[in-house]
Amino acid sequence: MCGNFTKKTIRNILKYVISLGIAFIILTAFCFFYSNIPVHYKCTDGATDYVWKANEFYSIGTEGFSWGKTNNEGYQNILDYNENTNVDILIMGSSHMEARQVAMKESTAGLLNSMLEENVYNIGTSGHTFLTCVSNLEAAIKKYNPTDYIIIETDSVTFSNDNIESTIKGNLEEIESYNEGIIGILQQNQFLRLLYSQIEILLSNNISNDVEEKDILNTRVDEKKMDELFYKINADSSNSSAKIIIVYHPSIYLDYDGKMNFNHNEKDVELFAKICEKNDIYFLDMSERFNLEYMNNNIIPYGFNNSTIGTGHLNKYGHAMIADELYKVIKEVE
Amino acid sequence: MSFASIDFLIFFIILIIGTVIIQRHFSPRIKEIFLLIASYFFYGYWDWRFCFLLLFITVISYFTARSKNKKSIYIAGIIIPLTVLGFFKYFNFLLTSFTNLFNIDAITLKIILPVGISFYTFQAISYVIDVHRGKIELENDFIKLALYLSFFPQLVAGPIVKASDFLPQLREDRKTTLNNTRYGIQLFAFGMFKKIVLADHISVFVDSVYSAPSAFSWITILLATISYSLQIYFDFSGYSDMAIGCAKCLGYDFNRNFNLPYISQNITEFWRRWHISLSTWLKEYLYIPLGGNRKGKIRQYVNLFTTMLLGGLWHGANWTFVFWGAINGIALCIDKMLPHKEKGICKKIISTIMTFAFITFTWIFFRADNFETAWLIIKGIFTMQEGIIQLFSWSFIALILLAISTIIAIIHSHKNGEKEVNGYYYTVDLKKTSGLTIFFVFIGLIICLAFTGEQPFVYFQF
Repeated sequence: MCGNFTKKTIRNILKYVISLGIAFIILTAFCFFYSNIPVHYKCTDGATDYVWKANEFYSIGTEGFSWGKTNNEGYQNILDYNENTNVDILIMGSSHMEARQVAMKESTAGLLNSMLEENVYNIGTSGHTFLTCVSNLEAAIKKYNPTDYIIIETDSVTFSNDNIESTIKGNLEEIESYNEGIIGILQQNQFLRLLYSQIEILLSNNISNDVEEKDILNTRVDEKKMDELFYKINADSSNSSAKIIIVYHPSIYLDYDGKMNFNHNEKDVELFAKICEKNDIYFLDMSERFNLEYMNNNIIPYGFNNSTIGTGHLNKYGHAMIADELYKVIKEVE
Repeated sequence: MSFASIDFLIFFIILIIGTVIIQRHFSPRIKEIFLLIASYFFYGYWDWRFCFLLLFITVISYFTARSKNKKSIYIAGIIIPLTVLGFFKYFNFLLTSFTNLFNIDAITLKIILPVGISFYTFQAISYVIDVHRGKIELENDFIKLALYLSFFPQLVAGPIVKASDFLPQLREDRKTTLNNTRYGIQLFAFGMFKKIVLADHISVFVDSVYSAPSAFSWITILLATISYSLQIYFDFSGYSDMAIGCAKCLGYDFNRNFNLPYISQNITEFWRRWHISLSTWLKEYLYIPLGGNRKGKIRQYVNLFTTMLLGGLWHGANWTFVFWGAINGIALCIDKMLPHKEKGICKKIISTIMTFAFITFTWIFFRADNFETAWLIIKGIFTMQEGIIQLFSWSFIALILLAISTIIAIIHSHKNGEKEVNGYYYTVDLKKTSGLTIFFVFIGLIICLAFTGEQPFVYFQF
């Protein structure tokens, strides 16, 4: 009796283990195409906080649908980089510039590459805010030594005074990479990664995002602190001949009457533009272009056919608008 | 606590384990008390104050049903729950409608609408009426009646379970068994897929179009309108499947609430297939008492129209719902006037498409917050408005899945020689490795594809 019971229990456990194993393989195969994000590692040269695994296939189906391969350094870039590569234009920024949601050729960097026929090197990386880029600016210039332009992308011009202070002092919190130990191994499985991220979002239920947005709208930027921040930018880039362009693309929303609005304080934008001008940095505000494209062509810079229109990351139209405006600025300066 | 949440998952696992332990070591009475406490906990998780309201309705039903020979008390058993419902749901609506009509400054009360109030008040009323009519036995056991009204799977968004269906099951001492659980969790997973994968993804598209109807092109608005038909179906039928699945895990059976409504060839058939528990309730406790079809054709049409009008109002305190009910009522009357002949396959397909188109049109008023929005949506489609084009991929995925499942159901019904097409749950044998593998893959896909933002069930608001 006891032997039969044990046999039955072992058989049942085996059944579950085998089923789970097969299901796990099938789901991993599915996620390989649906949501395949490489593991990231600490960036040793400091140009960014981290880099993705080099020469790795990625795909995304959760927001837009695209796939590609990271370059030899782990950036979303058409070009590979080696010590002899001459970088004419260096792009720094967030996941918007990383542009995993669109084909590489349709990203701002990809478009600028073909429009200008110059070496445009994109090190835009997810989670890198304007302040992160400023923190990494000196190291990025040291490594890539761009000859013509450094483009820093940002979707916000409002920052907390604490974060500005940390950036100036050089102790802004870095984005950690968890590529070692068990977590590092688990991260290599696409299904587990997606599972983790889905559960994490489900648990947070977007509450933190709402709070952040409200905080931004209630924050007032300290002009003195901003001056100090730009002083740091100038100091960090003083050894480079490249001109800095800051491209700002605000998030948008459509109101009931169909009018496009921007999620920012006009005064903050004006202040940011004023300080840029004072420091001889070109400030490219995309608001007007976004509005014009919407009014004339009903085109929205954010959102995809499988996500909320007007929110999320830049779509191919958004990238094209930014690339076009940057192209105009560069031609104008030249 | 929503079914589609981690909180519920933890709650349900503890509940199942607790139920199994109790039914092994304790009397059925303890199990009933345990389920009752769990149901009140589930309800109180939203707002503990709601529990007192639920208890109040239960006490009223218990005592008024007992005095079945005194008509005034019996009527009180109907009037009191309706008054409670009216106060919480319609007080501000009626007040603002009145003040708007006479251009008086509106004064409204800050009233929180208790979740699921429309469902449990209807169940309470049906219990009192059925006892009075002698259709069911009086329930002397307060715990059983309280459990019937508060049983958590159907508490907040239906299906509206009739006392005659559920109380006998409570008397039978149903058990949580492995077989029940194997079947129940598959139904629950089906519902979860419909809700958090299909309905919630579609909802973000529909919400964006309805929040800025002037911004979108006619093709996008049309797609959003069709998408809403899909959203509300997957949302509500998904919730019903989850409720049926939960109840099944605990050993109880609920009747199906949806039966492939979008294959209906006319509006009458649609209302036989859509939200079946509500349609049945309205028929038994409103349409038939009003006279049904026993008092001539004209009276039948008036009764039908009145039933649908009130059915519309039941859905929400807004004139758009009343209008939605009215057009459905008119359509039902027209359908009753028309001769129903046996149709060929082409005519059947055309009738199905036309019925779907009509239902989709009526959903505009159901979804819109006001008539202005509804008008902008309709105008946008018919004037071929220019604007943003978004061909939302989840809408197409949902449409394809609905078409495939409908075709499978048609084949299944024909194979079984059924007179009309019926939906069914495709379940796998979880005793087998292949069945378990399919189930685990399905669960994994639900988690991978789930929309993880916050999207409450559409019917929670009712």
